[in-house]
Amino acid sequence: MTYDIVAASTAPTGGAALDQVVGLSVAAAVITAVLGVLAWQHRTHRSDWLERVGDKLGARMRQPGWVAVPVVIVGASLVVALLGYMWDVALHAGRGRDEGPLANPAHYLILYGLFAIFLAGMVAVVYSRRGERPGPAAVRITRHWYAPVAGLYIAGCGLYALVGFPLDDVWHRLFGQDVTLWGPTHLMLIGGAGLATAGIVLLVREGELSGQSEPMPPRVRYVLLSVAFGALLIGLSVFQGEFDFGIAQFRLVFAPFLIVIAAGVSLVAARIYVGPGAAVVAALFFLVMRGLVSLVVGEVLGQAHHVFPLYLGMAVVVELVALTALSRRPLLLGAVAGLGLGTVGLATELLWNDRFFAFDWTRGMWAEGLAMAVPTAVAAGLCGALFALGLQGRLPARPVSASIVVGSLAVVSLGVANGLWATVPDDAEVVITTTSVGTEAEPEVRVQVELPDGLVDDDPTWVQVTAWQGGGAGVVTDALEHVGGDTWASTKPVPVGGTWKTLLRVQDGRMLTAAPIFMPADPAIDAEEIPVEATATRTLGPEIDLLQRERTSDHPAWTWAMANAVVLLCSLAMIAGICWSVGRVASRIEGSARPAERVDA
Amino acid sequence: MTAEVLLAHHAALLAVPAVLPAVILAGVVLWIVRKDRREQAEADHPDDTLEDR
Repeated sequence: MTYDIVAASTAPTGGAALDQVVGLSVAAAVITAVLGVLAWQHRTHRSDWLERVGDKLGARMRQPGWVAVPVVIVGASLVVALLGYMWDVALHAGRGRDEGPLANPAHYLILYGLFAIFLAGMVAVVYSRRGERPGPAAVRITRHWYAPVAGLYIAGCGLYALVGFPLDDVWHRLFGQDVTLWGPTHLMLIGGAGLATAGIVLLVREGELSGQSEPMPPRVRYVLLSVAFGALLIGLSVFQGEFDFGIAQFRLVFAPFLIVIAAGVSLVAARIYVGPGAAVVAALFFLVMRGLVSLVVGEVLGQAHHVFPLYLGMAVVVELVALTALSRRPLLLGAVAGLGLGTVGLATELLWNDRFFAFDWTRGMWAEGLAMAVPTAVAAGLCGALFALGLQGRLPARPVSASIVVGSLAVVSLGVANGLWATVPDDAEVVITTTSVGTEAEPEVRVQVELPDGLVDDDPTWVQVTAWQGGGAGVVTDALEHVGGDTWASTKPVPVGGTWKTLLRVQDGRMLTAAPIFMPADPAIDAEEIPVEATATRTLGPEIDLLQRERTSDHPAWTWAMANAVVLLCSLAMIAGICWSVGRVASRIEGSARPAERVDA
Repeated sequence: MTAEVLLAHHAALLAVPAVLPAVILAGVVLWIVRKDRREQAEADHPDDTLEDR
């Protein structure tokens, strides 16, 4: 994730950049050659070390080598990628754009993690020799070379995410430096990595079906798979990053919406496929990993602090629903568990959110939040059930499966479209009164704002001050207190001056707007300072003008639509990829088992 | 001052040692697949040329 502009004075000279181009190109050539030669040596039996490593690891993990090696690589590298990702978001939230080329250390971790995912997939692809088929769903590469379908899928995820890196650069050249997590190319980067975890579950399944290793002891299998679903939960939760850092640039109704998608798919699938308690183990794994990463980023690295959803109440809801007779009808179980997640589950998250997150889920957003979250939760629960059934080789009839996937995509798309639909008030002005309370070195202000009459109702989603990009651990938010009439006041001082961007933000229903309190001068984008004034009347405008003021608008409209369409198509291809892979494994299991045991909806 | 001047261009640069190998290796696998399919087609129909089919 790269939102980097360099001011002219710090921009690299042509010579330095050329050095880097040469150096990095040489590195690319060496890496390509080394990996290519290693793969060629392995496949032509000129070397056996990969097989020896695979045999050794496989014997210990009770997996074929083509499962054991990729699982270890992905396990080790996803942690690195996650840390890099959270660190990167924290850096940008705290400091803004990067200060120079190769200056952001978090990017290295992300890049390494994504490359390792690709590598893991490729190891699974090249591993099997002598015409051996890695599992019944293996895909033919040549007449003597077969690859596990999950290996192809994982490599595809890695490649997709990696391609996001240069595309991200192109994106920022076209559209400027939008400092948001939800830039389409950012979504490619995190989506590819996040969805690779589903590939791991599938790869382990292919390993089991191949009969090429002794079966895992039940307890080991239970823990390994529960953890894998926990990783899927983490993978699907990275999309919520802006809420975690308290700098959401989109309407708050997205928070419960995204939480139920992650929970519905991974927790329901974990419970059905792995067994009783697996959803809780997955949620616990999520909490441990995210807790550790949050600790490292916030405390050890000293960057912006972030929190994360609890999911434990969600997991208990899934477990309880599965205790009923519904457990014999998995699809119905998925739907009912989804309903539970969208209601009771979200109630548990509400308590957690209002205690730990920057902004409460106020009553004003409940109706719309539920209208978005409940159907989505049901769809996600159904998809989770479908994933589990595919792994078990008892998918419902094709039209049923296809309808669930397409229907779920439609529900999610409608939710996203609704969430993105935000309005800005016409000609609204706010009177901002500030009182200096900080020191000269670290100026701070308390603010009192007079909103235009009738701009918000009694229960707006938020009236808040956000100060960010002030350097270091710099994100400060303050939910203003309603002191009567249209007047709202600070509950604590917020920083101004330096590189801080301090603004008033208002959201009520669809309305999403902001006004600057202090914005630093930014010669790189010809922006002048907006100074703090004792009393100022400021226009409430689109948030994006302030939060993403680096963004440029001097590009033809079609390029924006086109760029989004490309990323959308790639994303749909990813989803089609996992559906095809799971379907292939399922059909091979069905084919080899007694006459297909279909599941009733 | 144009937008181009301001960009560090580093995302593309930084990504080169990871993205290029990945794209090339994936390309090589696809090329091998294609080659094998052709050879197989020729082996199955030794009298035909590819253009005839």
